[in-house]
This record gives sequence, C-alpha cells and structure tokens, in this order.
Amino acid sequence: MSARTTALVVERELREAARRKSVWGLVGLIFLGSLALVVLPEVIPSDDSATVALVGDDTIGLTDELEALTDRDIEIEQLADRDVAATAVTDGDVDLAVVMGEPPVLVVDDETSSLVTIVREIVTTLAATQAMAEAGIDPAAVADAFTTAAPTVELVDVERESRRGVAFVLTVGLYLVIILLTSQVASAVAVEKSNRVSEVLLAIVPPRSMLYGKVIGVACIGVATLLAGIAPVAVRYAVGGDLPDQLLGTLAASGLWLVGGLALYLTLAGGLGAMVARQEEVGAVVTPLTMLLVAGYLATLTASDSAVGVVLAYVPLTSPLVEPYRIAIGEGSWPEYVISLAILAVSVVLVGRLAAAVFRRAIVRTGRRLRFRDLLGR
Amino acid sequence: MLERMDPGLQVRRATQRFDERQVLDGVELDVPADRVVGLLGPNGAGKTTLMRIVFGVLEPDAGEVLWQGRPATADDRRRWGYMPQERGLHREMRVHDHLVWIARLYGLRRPEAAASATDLLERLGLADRANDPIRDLSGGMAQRVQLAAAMVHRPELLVLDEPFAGLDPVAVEFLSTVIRDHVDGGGHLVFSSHQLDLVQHLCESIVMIHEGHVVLRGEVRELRAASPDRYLRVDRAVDPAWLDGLDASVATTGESGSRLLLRPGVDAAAVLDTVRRHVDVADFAVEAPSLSELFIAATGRRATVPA
Repeated sequence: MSARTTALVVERELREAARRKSVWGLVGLIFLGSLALVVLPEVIPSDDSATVALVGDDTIGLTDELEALTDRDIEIEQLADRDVAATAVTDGDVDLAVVMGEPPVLVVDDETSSLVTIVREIVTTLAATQAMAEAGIDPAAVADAFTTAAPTVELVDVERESRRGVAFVLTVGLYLVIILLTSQVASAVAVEKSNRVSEVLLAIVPPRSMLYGKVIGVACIGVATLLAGIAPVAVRYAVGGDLPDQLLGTLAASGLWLVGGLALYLTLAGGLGAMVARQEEVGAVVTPLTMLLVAGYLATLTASDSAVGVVLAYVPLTSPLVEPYRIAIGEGSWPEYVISLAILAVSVVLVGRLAAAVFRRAIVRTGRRLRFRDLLGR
Repeated sequence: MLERMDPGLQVRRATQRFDERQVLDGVELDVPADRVVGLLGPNGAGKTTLMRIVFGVLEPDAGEVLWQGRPATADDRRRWGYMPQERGLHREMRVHDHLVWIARLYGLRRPEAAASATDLLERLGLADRANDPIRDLSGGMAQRVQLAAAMVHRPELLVLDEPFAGLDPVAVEFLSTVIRDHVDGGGHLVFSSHQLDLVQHLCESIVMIHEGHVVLRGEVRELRAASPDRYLRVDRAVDPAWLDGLDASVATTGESGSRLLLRPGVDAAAVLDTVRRHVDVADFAVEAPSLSELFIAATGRRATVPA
C-alpha cells in the first residue's frame, strides 16, 4: 500500500507542477537560454574576420600571406595615405593598417589584440626575408631558416583544461540543483504542515510515503528542468561530434551521485521542514543543511584533487559534489567510486528512515518550532 | 445497551502527555452506529489530540482504539473519514481533482473515485465549482470541500473536528443535515465542538472533556433530565438584587433576556412572580440545563472560551 500511496503523492506533485505556468516558464527559460548559448555562436559572424588596410605598394607580398591564413578571414583594403588609414582605424572601418616603407608601420588602436601580433610577425618575417634576399642570401634558405628556427609548441595532457572546464560546470550545476531543491522541499513540507494538509494525509498515507513522494516529485521536476538545460548542449555536441573525451561517462556517473545526493539532502530537508510551525521559519532550520552544501561546493572546487578531496569523496554529504568532479578530472579509481557510491546508498537508506521518523513525529506538533530534543525518546 | 450489535468506534483510556502537559488522561469515547456523538469541551481540552489518536496520526502514551470490538488497523482506518479543524487541503488544486486524489489514496480506483467525487459535489451544491482551484472558494465553500474530502470514499465512520467553527447559520443548518443523513444512513459519526449550545440540538450522545478529563458523558436527553438544576428563562434583564432571599440566582442576563438558576425544590412560579413585580414578562419557560450549563455545573467554569 505504501508504494501505491507514494506513487499517488508523486503523481500529484508532477500533475500540479505541470499545471503551473511558473514551472513551464522556468523550463522554457532555461531551455531557450541553453539554446541561445549553442546557436548564437553559429549564426553571429565570428570575431575571426578582420579588415586590414594597406597604404603604398605591397612589395613584400603581405596580401598573399594574409589571405593564405586559414584560421582568420582577412579582407584587404587599399587606402591612400597614412592619415586616411589612421582615421579608418579610429572609426573602426578597418581593424588595422599597414603603411609600407622602411620600416613598415602598423597603425592600430589596440596594441594587444591578437590580430596585431599576427600581422606584426608576418610583416617582420616578410621584411626580414626581403632584406636578406637583397643582401644576396637565397630566399629559399631564408624561408627555411625561419621555419626551422620557430619553436614548435607541444601541449602536455591536452585534455586537462577541457576536463577542468567540464568538472567546473558540472559542479556548479549539481550544486545549484541540490541547493534549490533542498529549499523547495523544506518549504513545501512546511506549507503542507501549516495548512494542515499533512494531518488529513497522515490519517491515510504512511508518513514515509508523504515524505518520499514529495522528495521524488520535487526531484523529478528539478531534474527535468536540468535536462531542458542540458538537451541543446548535448544535441550540439552529439551532432558536431566534438564531444570532450569521456564526457558521456562523466555525465552518467554524475547522474548516479546526483540521484544519491538529492535523495540524501531532500529527505533531510523534508524532515527539517516538518519541524517548523510557520513557513517563515523554514530558512532558519535548513540553514545548517545549506551551509554544509556550500562548504562541500567550495571544497569541491578547491580541494578535489588533494588528500582532503580523497576523504571528502567518501563522506556522503560531500561525495555527491566531490566525486563527479574527481571523475571529470580523471582522479580516483574504480574501488574509490564503488565504495563512495555504496556509502552514499547506505546513508540514503539510514537518513531516509531518520528523516521519516522526524517527519512523522514533527508533522503533528504544531504551535512552535521544534527542537530535536522534542522528537527524541518516543 | 451493554451488548450492542455494532459497537463501532471505542477509545479506551487514551492518555497523552506533551512535555509537562497532560493533554489526555484516561479518556474514553464510544461512537456506536445510528447516534450523532458530540465530543465537547472548551478549546485546549484535548479534543483534537483525541481525534489524532483515533486516526493513528498520534501514537498515545497509553490506551487503545477499537473498531467493532478489536484494535483498529490501518485497513479499518481507510474506511473512516477525517475532517481536521481549519483547512487541510492543497489550496492550489482544483476541487474535483483533489477529491479524486484523496479517494484514490483511500484505495478507490480512478473511475469510482471520479464518480464518487462528482456525486458528492452535486449533493453538497458545489457542482459548478468542480474545476475551480480551492483557493478561489469562499470559507463556507472550502469547508464543504473539506467535508467532501472526508466523505468521498463513503466512509463507515466520520470524524469531524470543529466542523461548525466559523460557519454562518445557513452553513450550520446545511452541515447539520449532512451529519444527520450520514447517521440515518447507518453510518458512525463523531464531531467535536467548543460551541456547546450550538450543537445541543444535533447531538444525541456526548462526551464532555475538560483539561484532558471526561467531565460528563451520556445521552443528551437523559443528562439534561437527570440534572437537579432547572432554569427559569424570562425575556427581560434581571437585577440579581431582586432575587435576594430566594433560592435562585442569575446565570446570565442581558437585554435579550435572562436565565435564572433555580436550586432543587424551588417553586419556579414564586421566582417568576418576584421578577414580574419589577418588569413585565411576556415570554418565559422552565428549562433543563443547556449543555454549557451542564458543563459549568460539572467543572465550575465557563464553557465557552472566546475564540
């Protein structure tokens, strides 16, 4: 009977949520926001196109070199003299102007831009090559010398940065989902207590059905909202084919810890929410829980790959944030993951019982906020 | 009367403490079929706590709840209906949806639940509000929905906590009819109230509690008849000084009339004559004590506490 009533409580949560415009508004907003992040870079002309003005004859072959650049789309424009070029740069009509001569002059408005660096390097190389050729050195040998002299850059652990990025985004996402839903469950329970819905329900529904039903219902709505945010990004990567390595595995693993973390925090929040007499007091009772979450979040971002991180990976209140981070950055090992998840699962069961017991005793004690002492002993 | 065919609900020696406060002390309650039972007493007497114990919402420190002579089970309780004091509904839900949901929690299938909800809303005059959110209803209408929520699974026992609180006279009359119908249809029913005189005509049997103790119990008619006290009701204000030397006192008095408590054996006609020497009396009667007067006699306190 208890599974049936829990299912009915969940069903009500979902059906009523589906009726609320605010829920759809939030889902829509998050979906559109995510969609915009994915689509906008594709449709808005990228920053990589630039216009370079030339003043004087291109005796060094700069035009050919610039047009040959593969990662920049550069348009070349011929201008009459330096002053015209300077005005054009100032007005933003061109990004940069090169006044030919000895030496060539770059007219720019931002010395640090990457375009300036690129053009300066090309001009230097071309001018030097030309000068050496004029001095009687074989141009082919000069070009060869430049090529062999330029150091090549080798990236060690090419995925490190992208892994850190994934881990960071993941942690922020998990943290936000858990902390928002924690407050939501606590205040929903408090509202039902204060308007006596719980009293009617307790006569027919086992307390744990009420608590678990509320937790599962709120979690489903929260995760659905999260998926609305993830979907456009997932589709973009799936279609684009350039998924960061192991992203799918990391996401799947995070899903496990997210479910465990939500179960743990939301049942605790439900138990705490049942202890208040008025909805306004919810903030006060869930603060210890949210402080724990904030601490876990900060520890995750700063210490996940340290010895402290290893310990926190096993602590059920922090592992839902720490372990996905460690998996994302490639720390830890299979035994660690399995043990961490097992500890989390056992904690969910134990805390679930504790929270249900607190909930059962607290939900009918109205009039004032309860302390744990009030609920012990019987 | 000792061996009933249908003992219905029986609460035995219910005892409950909260912190240092003894909320119930050995309270007994019997709700047989075919009787409207009133659980009466001032606010804070322990009525709501007793009802929560009946429904298993609270586990009492001692005592037991029996249904048809054996300890009540969760299955038994699913055939009972409970209406708590104040609200007790999801205010954002639509009326019909809410009733169907409650009925399904009680174990009805969805089609049965929907049919029962529709039928009940029709009976309670709420059919045209079936698809409105409960928060849009007036207080009286919300109260009817609350009642419907307690009845939607056609319970054998109805337990109503302060159902009359805050209702206008029309709503009181309506609710009284619903209560009467339920009992006349063979159902069991107990309701609580602190407005003793308001429900005097409705209750057949009462349990009166005060500070967690039963102070009076039995059939209303018998209790009133058995009391040695009689009251002389007159339609004028009475000065207590007029009664000096008589074995009578002013229980209540005001512009709308007075009730004079007559000690056992006092000649009511003599008291009336005394009053008539001071004012003209057009309407008078000698009456058995009201429920609140019985309460005062039993406790030495005023029954109605300002809400």
